[in-house]
Amino acid sequence: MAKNLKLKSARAALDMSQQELAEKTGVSRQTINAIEKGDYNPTLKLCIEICRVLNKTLDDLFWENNE
Amino acid sequence: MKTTKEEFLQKPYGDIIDDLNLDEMQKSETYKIAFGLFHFTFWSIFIFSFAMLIFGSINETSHLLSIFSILLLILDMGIYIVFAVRTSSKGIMNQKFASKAGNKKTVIFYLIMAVMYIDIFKEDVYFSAYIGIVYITMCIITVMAARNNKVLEKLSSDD
Repeated sequence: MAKNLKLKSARAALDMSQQELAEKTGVSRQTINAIEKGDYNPTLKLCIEICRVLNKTLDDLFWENNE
Repeated sequence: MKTTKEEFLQKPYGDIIDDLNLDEMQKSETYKIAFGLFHFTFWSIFIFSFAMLIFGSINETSHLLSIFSILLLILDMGIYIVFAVRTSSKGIMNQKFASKAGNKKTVIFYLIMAVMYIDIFKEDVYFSAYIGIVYITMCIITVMAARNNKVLEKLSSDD
């Protein structure tokens, strides 16, 4: 799976650490890290929660652009 | 929701096989590992109990060994049956297995096996009991497979 750089940059834009995002979404920092590295596919529920916290849409953060 | 660090630290010491406080990713990975180990444990106990039965029958004074092998088999098959009952109730039994095991040809196969079993093993009490338990388990699993298929059929017909 490809790295999720959109998630990483959205998080960085709000000056939020992985730990902070993890706490706000109710998961561990390890999980946020795994999602950003592309090692784990989160459930839709978690995706929605992450989008809500970062004030982004699902397309903004999780849509894969095939170039 | 995940408990806070403070709440977690106040809880008594957790077990390595405790999934309390694991989030979705940790649970997903842990359950994959656990399922593999369940598979390995099931077959290991099955083979070990059979080996004990063989050894007990060679050494004819070891009735205790044969009895213990049967008890171990009952435990092993019991867990296997519980797994089949619970997966079939949700329609999540392995589909490749359920589609073959749940059909009518399998019933005929089991009837033939029953005749063979009665003829071959009637002399040895322990072997009879052992093979009988395996046979009954296979029958129950077949019924559960058919049940699994019915559950799937119902799920796909609901609007």
